[in-house]
Amino acid sequence: MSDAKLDDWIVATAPRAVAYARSLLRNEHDAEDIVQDCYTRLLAKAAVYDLPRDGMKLLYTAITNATINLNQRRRFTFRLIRSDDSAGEEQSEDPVDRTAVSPDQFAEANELSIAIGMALQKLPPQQRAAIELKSLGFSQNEIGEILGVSSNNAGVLVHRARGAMAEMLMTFRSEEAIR
Amino acid sequence: MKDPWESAIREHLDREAERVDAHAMLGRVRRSSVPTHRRSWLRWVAGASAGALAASAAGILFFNPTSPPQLTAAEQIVREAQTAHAVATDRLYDLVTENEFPILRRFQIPPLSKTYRIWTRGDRFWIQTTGDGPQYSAGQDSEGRIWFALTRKRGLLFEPTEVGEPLTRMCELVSLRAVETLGEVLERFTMLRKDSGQPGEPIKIEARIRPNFLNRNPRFREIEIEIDPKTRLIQRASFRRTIEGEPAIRLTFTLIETQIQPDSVYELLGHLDADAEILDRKEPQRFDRRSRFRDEFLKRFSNRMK
Repeated sequence: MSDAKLDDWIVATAPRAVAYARSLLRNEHDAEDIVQDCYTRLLAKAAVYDLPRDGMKLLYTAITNATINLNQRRRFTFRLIRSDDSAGEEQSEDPVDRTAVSPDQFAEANELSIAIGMALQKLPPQQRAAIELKSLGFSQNEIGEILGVSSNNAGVLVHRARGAMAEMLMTFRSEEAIR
Repeated sequence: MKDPWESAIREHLDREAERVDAHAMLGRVRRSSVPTHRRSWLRWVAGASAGALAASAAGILFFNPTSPPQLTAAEQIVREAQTAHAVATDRLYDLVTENEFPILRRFQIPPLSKTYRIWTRGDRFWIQTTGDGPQYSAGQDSEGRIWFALTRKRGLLFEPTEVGEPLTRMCELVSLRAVETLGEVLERFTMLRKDSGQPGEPIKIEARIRPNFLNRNPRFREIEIEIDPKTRLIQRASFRRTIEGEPAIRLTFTLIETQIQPDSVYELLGHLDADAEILDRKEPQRFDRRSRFRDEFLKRFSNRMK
């Protein structure tokens, strides 16, 4: 596989991969770091896999695992920090960047997109990953493989996520409003 | 028929994806990749020979100006910048402070910003307001005293022991203090180069505080620094401060010039007329109107800094 082809593949797939990681982590910098790391690890196996053909599933599996691991580590660290209440006026904070929606985005993005971003953040991580992967075109089987669950479970996760989204976004419920 | 929510989520992700610089990501990946292709020595020699022949034909033997340069590590650059700033020279910066409290964002109000001009020399600095609003100068002299020149005829001088933590912190924030700040970055931040390393391009480094127990109360959470590739001086630095996990203020310094200044510019007297009134601490303390004004000024200013 030539480097140029791999470069094209990275350029074509990176934006959505970062967007996906960002949504799972809610932290832009960590998302970029993780995606970079995943690409690096995949490139190390470029001789084994045909990445432009088969790499998407591998990439999203790696990103999903890495984000889940990081979130678990964060929760542990966060608990450690929060256990001490004697901090000064700036209390220790949740390391997750809750400022993912910047003022620029607020100005530029439409109301529905913001609402969807916020609703996605309220979903449990697996459901969020499942519905996002579904929207990105992965099949139920592939989602199961990426998330490490059975195909049926993947279907359940997507179904629940869809239901929760619909409930949270009642005001946009009609199809006309979405279009 | 595709589920409308899936389409909406896809659009949302696409919108997020538009903000991603794919080529920057490619650069990062390529810089961090270690070639692992297993080639026999014969293939390697054949490949290298073919490459060399092709390069000769193109007239760019052994040198390709477009190939990505080897980048110096961010930590090394920051150390060199620290050394460059250790020379106590007078530097003029434009300082923009932007209040980024979440309530502003919630109501889609742009950040409230103020601009200042600030001269620094080591720990000393003096700052001048620009734009609309009250005009005054303030600074910190060689003895650590904080002063305010409200007009050319009236100044206030406070001993380091008089001012509380908020005002001291404000002085630390606005005075840049490059050497200490860069030391803090080296010690407590994770750094990443964001530039491509092309000749002439400023070195861009992003630094984020490491989320651990010791870094609970940092002065800043995120720092973006642009460093001159030749002089290693900070050209631009943006510091983001958060309180309770929410963005509070962003300070952006832009280097305007480096020029030797007289010592007097960092002293209160350098900003007052000869016949000006100076309200400083007198022992024993006065309890007249001027003294009360001085106390009230310090109290109000400190409250604003909290």
